[in-house]
Amino acid sequence: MKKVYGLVAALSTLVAAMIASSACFLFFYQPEEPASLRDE
Amino acid sequence: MEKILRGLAHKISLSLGYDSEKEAVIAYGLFAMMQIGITIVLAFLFGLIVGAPVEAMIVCFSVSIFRKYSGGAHAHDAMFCTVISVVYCTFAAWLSKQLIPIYHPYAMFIAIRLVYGLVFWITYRYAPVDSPNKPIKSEQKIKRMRKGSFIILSTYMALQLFFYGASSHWPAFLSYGISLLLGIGWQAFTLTPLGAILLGKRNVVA
Repeated sequence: MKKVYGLVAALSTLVAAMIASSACFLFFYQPEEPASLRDE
Repeated sequence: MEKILRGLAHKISLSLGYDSEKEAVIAYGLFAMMQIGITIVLAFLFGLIVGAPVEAMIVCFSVSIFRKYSGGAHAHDAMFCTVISVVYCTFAAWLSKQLIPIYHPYAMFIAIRLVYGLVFWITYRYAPVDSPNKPIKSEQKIKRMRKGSFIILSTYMALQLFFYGASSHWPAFLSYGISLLLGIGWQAFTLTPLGAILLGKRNVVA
């Protein structure tokens, strides 16, 4: 199970980093961005 | 859904021994994947129902890729966001098919010039549009987002002209061109104060 969690964590971190470099979420809702991803 | 994903992120973080900041990043990424996935799948399925799945995907991706750089008005909750995205993608895809019988190359050429002229002006005037949950304050990032918006728009214009030219040989490109026009038109609209009224609050940073 730890391997699956590791994979999900890696994938979601990658997506979060990709979204962080954009102006906003790709659709019309923007949840609060974690402080470590902020590039204001 | 946000609560369930936060719970899952917490479980993963506990299992892997991550701190709260890493947990927040995982929850954010999970939410992004879920929202993007659900919107794309629903837009495709509803596109299939109205007989225009490719057109629905053209609208969906043209909006989201342009939005990555231009930002735009945001809905107050995820459900409303998904509903409005899917409804618009389906409606625009359906409309692009319905307009084929009255399609005229000259009228389309005028529409392309008008829409792109307006979209370039709106982008110059408003982009990037940030939100309280993801503010854009640095001059460097504003410049980068504006530059990216214009690059994307120029690429779309080249693609639009290709669709326009190809439609004289391959009729399928008629509706592809119309749906691309409807996609960028909608995204540009969400950059304006009127778009903000429709979707919710927004902050203009440029």
